[in-house]
Amino acid sequence: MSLESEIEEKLREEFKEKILEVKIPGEHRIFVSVPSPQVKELVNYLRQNFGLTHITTISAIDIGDDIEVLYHFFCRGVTIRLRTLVPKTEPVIDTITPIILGAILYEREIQDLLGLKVKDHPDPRRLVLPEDWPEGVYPLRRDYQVGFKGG
Amino acid sequence: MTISIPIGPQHPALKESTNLTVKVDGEKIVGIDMRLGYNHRGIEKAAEQ
Repeated sequence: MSLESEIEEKLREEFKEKILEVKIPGEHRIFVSVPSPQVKELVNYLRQNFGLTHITTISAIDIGDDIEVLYHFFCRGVTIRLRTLVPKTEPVIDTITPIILGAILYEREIQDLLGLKVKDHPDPRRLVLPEDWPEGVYPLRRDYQVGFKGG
Repeated sequence: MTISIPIGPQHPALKESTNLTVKVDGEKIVGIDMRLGYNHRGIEKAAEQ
């Protein structure tokens, strides 16, 4: 059995209805969708049971009422994509940095640019935005308008 | 005892502007603190609009 099918089976067994969707869109790829409170637990499960250690990136986008966060992992030849939605009314997500250390800068980046508060992050300082940037203004939110600077 | 050595944002060895504060204990690097974003071009935002 391929690793991606094994992951799919084990996740269904372990998380049952806590998982919104699991699918294998192609060879060596697996897509998982979970509610945001389950992210940490799921990443921890993959770490403990499948030796997941590498994170490729975390990407996030403002899709209206929610912020869609995509975690891209690479584990023993399989690309794992983990999708979750965080409501903008309560934009908080648990950190995965204690489990996958490589997430530290990506989490700081999305915290800066989208205002997605990463709970219990070990180093929550600004990463991308300058020191004099106003608090509570998030440039990658849809409601942020880029000013015309001439040229 | 550690000493902090700032490198950048402008430095000939860097490919783009980055500020690295390297913490050294003698010859050994024991920590690093980085400041990014000097050259952020906002392509994601531009593509959205």
